[in-house]
Amino acid sequence: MSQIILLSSDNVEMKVDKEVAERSILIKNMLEDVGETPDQAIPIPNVNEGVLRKVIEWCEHHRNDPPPPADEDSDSRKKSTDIEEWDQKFMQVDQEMLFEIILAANYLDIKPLLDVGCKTVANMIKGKSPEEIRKTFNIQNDFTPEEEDQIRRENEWAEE
Amino acid sequence: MVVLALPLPRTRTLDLDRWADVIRERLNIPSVQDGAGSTAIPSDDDDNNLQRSSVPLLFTLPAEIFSLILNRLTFRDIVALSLTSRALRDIYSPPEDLKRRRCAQKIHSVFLLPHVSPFEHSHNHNHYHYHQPYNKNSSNVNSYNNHGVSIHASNSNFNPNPNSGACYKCPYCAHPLCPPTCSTALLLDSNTGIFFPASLWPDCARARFLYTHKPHPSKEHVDCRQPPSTGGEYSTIWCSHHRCPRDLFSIKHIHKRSGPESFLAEYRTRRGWKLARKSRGQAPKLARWFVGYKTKSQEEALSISKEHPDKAGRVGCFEKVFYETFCRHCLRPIEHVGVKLYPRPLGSASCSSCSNAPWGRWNRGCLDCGIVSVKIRMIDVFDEKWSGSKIFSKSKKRDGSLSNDLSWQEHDGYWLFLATECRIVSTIGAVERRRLVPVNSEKAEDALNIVRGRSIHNIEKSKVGIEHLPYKILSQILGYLQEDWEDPSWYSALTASYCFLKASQRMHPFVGRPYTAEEVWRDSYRLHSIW
Repeated sequence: MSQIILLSSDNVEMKVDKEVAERSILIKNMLEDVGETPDQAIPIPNVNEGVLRKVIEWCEHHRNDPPPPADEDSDSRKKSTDIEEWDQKFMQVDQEMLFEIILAANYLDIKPLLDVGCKTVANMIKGKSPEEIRKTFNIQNDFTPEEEDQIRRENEWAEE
Repeated sequence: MVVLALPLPRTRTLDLDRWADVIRERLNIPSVQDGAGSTAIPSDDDDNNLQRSSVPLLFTLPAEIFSLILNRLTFRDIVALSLTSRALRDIYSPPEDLKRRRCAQKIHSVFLLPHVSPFEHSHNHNHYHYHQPYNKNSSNVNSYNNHGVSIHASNSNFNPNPNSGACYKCPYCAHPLCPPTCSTALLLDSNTGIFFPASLWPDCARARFLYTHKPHPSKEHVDCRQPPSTGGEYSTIWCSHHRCPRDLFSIKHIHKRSGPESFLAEYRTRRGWKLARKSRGQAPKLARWFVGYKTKSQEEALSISKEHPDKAGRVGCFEKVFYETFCRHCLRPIEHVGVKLYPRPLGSASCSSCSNAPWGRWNRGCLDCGIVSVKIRMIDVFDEKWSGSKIFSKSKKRDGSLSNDLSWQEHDGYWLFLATECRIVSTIGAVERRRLVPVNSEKAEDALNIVRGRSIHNIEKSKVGIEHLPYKILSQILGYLQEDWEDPSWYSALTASYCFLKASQRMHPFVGRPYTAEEVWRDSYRLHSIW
């Protein structure tokens, strides 16, 4: 099986199976455009070694997955936040890594990985109060009491 | 070398472009250029990175990714997120649709509940105390009122003393009540005998006190055009500042119009209270937890400790637990396959989503507000030793409806319910992958302590207990117990812990496959429903 070399933003080369690398639509399209397997490293700027390794790990695990369904905009699919167990484990990383994986997945156009990342973040928000969300994402509450009052007034009870 | 020009893989139609600009402006984040920079770690610029380090990582996501996340959230989650920070407020826009607007108002009212207790500002007493109930002969009010609030003898439950910061008095023990907006308030629903925290109460700011028809004095400015029951009706409030004494019924000099009688009247005559106890508390498949050792009533404990200092006078304490799913909009238990659990609490009408749900099908509750899992625990709230026989007989005579109700004679405690908001937590690799845990475990523990009103000596848990056994093994044990039908051990095991209950529910003896959640639900309660 042919292999290609990916070059991370911090200049670390990684050999991966072409089939695995082609989980990235960006790389796949590029390889198709080039027409032959490049013998030199493909630079992946903006994705460092650690993140790239994680992305490759995910791609290797999902190398045989069928392509994502075409009806990607269906409402039920959008709302679903179920994540399969392996992916849940895979996403058990600190927040910085999680967001970097999401950004890398977006950059490399790996839609299923992007989906898993977004679901993970959504699950971190789901069912929580504003205070809990603040704690989760280290967000500072910068509403003044007057602003909170204003929001409260704007959303006062209306007769059912 | 192959040199890649790395453009955006594809372009999405963004709903959040405006938001993205606003958030960057507010957080002083440099605008991200199109192309590679917009999709990955945007810049190597040290200054920018320095700025980013102080900015929550969530805010650094490109708008299109943020919109993907928002697409996964419910309306309620979006409102919650929008209330975390000024920068995110713009992700919420008031809905045009009137129904959704009502949902938005409800959600906002829960999240923006002003948690204020008149006692919290002027006093440092953060723990409830076992005060003595009101006695009109008592001149030294401070002996039972740590807040220094004077309480006057009056038949009214409203204390107009300006020094006290007008408040109601508990109908059972005459202690001043905190308003429903107290941060630790547990409101006793007049319809069901369930203590609800503010987060599970329809509208705390408009909650009505059963023993008066006025809104709470601290809320008199509130527009009262709404129907009387919209905000729910409460009988009393227990919180970190007030909890009726456990020995409510052992007071020797009870006034004619004393509070214990009010409690008994509600406890024994209110249909909803009785039904809740009967339909849920007595359900055979209800898990009955051994929660630890309780001390007996204080008097008993004292006498025992004097006589037998080595024995603490401890007896086993059992509590029953069950779970419900509530619609977050109308905060009523969601009926499933036509099974009614008890009269819906809180008195108000069900929301349109719940009332229009087709019979016999899973009701998903309000689609905008969502649903919430609620753990309901049945707790014995007053000491069993009481000297209220006179009260009982008077109350019985006065209320003819009681004459046919013999259940009161089988007195085995005074059982009220405590509702705790839970959420589903996924645990990878565990036997039970999805578990319900309290949303705020610390607050839930505090609430539990308040309603229990006594200390429970917890048993030391072993690292590996019976609950850690795989369901297959547990069901095998149950199988052995089940062989002898005359031996009640099988039933006892089922009611002893959820682990047995779940093990039995996961092996369908006749069909040979695991029960579905729907079957478990139906079978658990169908036969015991009183409707």
